[in-house]
Amino acid sequence: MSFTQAALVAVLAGAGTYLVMHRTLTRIILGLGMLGNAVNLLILTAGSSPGNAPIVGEQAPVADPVPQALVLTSIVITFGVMSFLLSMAYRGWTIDGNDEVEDDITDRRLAEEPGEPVDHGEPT
Amino acid sequence: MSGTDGTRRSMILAETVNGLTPVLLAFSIFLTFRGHNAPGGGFAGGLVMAAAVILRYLASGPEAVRSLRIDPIVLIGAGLALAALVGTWPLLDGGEFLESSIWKFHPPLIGEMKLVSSSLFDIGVHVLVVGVVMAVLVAFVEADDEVARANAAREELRSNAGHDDASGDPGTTTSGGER
Amino acid sequence: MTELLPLAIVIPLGGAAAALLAIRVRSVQRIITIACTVTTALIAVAILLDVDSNGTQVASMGGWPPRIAINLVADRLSALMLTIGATMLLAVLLFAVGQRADDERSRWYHPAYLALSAGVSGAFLAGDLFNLFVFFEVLLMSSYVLLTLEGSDSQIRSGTTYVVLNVVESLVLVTGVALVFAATGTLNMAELPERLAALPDGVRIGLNLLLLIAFGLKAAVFPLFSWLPDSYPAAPSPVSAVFAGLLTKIGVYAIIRTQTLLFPETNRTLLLVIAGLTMVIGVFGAIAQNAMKRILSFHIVSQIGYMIMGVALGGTAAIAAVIFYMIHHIPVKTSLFLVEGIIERDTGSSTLDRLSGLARRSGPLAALFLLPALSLAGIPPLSGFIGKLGVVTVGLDQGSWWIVATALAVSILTLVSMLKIWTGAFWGEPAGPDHDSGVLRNHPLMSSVTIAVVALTVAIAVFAGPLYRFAERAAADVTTPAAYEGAVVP
Repeated sequence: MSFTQAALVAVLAGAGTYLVMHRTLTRIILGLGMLGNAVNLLILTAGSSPGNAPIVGEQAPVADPVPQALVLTSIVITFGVMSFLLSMAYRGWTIDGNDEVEDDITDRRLAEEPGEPVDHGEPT
Repeated sequence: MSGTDGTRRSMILAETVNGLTPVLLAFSIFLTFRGHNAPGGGFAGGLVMAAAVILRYLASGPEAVRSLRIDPIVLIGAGLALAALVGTWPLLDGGEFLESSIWKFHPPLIGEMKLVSSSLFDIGVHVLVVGVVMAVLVAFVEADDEVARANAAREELRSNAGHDDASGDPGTTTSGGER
Repeated sequence: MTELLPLAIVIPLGGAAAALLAIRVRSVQRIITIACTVTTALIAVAILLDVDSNGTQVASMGGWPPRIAINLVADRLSALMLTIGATMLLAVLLFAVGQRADDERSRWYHPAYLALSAGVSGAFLAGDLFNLFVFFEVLLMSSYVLLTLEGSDSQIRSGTTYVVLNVVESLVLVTGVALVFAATGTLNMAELPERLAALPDGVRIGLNLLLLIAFGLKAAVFPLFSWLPDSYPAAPSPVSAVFAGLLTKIGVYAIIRTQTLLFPETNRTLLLVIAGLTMVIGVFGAIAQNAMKRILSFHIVSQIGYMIMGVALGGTAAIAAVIFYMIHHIPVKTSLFLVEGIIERDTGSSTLDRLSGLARRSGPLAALFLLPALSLAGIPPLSGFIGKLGVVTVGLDQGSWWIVATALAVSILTLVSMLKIWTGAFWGEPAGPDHDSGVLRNHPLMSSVTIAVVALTVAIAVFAGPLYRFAERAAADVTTPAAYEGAVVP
């Protein structure tokens, strides 16, 4: 494990978390992409020592193939989810001209109506 | 939508893509077939082939995708079905799920040839990945067209009705022409 | 019979492929989906019978030895969950076909539904943490599609919350999986208990927390539940029925798996507090709401609290109670959403303000609602009572008075919120001008499916004895990691 890789994971995760906190879906998507890359890099950093490609016939210090398989799978999944989210952002934009993530309508109504028995335990 | 008339396309990009396409296709097939015992595989191969499709789209617009005349959904279904079948096949003769079997041929002149059933699985994945990327591309192109049509209709309505609601929805109308 | 295990995943997946190929012919799609779902349910029953008589079944993919292969493992808990899951998927599918609504007519409905059922089967059968994650993703991806099928404004809005939160959950889960692998060098659930036990306490607690946060978000436990009542109501009724019945329970299943198998020696006071808060806040949310779907959605959160309470109490008796509770909860919750679906289909709305006098219009419909509703609140002869009794008894045995008191109080509040639906929608004078009593007769397939699911909940109460004994056997399997280990890597 190298310090550079660990630091890169931290930076990606931090920037990703910051972007996910935004209201615009486009930024959230970018943030999720960064978080995804942070996690993938984490798998590689934490899970394997550097070595030759794990193929029969290679020289002795061989990298562990399992983390690489995990990363590949999780990249595929991130790819699918990203394209789905992008299409949702696009759809949201065609419907009302922005891609802001709005509050739940009923929650807003409950918070506005003083007469209703508002649930005090639930932060919205 | 400035793309459809072709005037603003890059000549350099178009020519490069024309030259690159056969190379990418060959490379993608190469990747897929070596995947069963070397780096590569159906997913990587599929992505390279999909990259060729996307490049053509960038170079010559939506027609590049439409002119292929393949429904990407059918590609997804066929790829998934092939992969599932190859996985299930060994169960029929007592093996385990996804177990790979090797067939050897002796075609004249070439010598021995091996075909591994996991290559068929890889082909399934390859087709599936190409289908998925194309489906995403087609979906966005179609949605774009829809928005363009809606905008055109709205413009028409607006010019007929005067300018009484000119303030409505500036985001949608302006960004339609940016692509 | 181990070849049945992969079939439970491949048949729906192959069916999804076939449904994609038949994308232009809806009737063919419908036949494919029904055939595949029926087959999967039959396979699940066969696996259940096989596992109960012959013990845990293991299928290693590709014929590799079980230590390095991807394993599918069916013990009694997996097989039971698989069976109930496949049955509910079939019931809801028939309901959706009978509903003839726009969502079932979408050409994406059937492929997505089959992929969902492949993911559900896979999540129950996965024998290692990573494949648990992969199948979670398969079912989540399909659930994203099903939730936003119409692409309407409200669906996109609530769908965004749902998708983003679940993607974050997935990322936390992969992080947990990656760190577990880094710490132990394996992800095989049979090898993990031993290696995790050898870790320093701090590392183990950290790993446990990561996995708990990820699965807790999926199961909608206390601080992580806000996505659920926001997103489920936006989905079409049959979709929200299957989500409500199954998806959160898969999170609970994963929590049971990881808590009993991987982290058996943990102090669970925190989890117990979270369970109490989940119950209380869920039921308060339900009381505050005004639309049927939302009330029922908040109930899910509240009920999850009972299950987490059982897991937190720990021990074979508690896990047995939780397993029984889940088996009771899945069909009960599904049937409530199906009744809601019939009401919405018939009257065009399920907001309590706009409904009235349904009991007079259709007595049988009222009965179909009342049975599972009372069962959910835990009224004596019904299945919910037996489930709650089991959990509460364990709580008393272990001397956790405060959580038992909370559970009982929440039970009463659940009844109160059910009465709110009852007085709002079923009592009083019929709102509409028509007094015909044919609500059920107008929708024959939807009604018969709902009647069947309600009958199943009653059957669970009637056959509670044998079922509870089965749950005890399943719990005994689950709470002895050595047995799991011995079955997978002998």
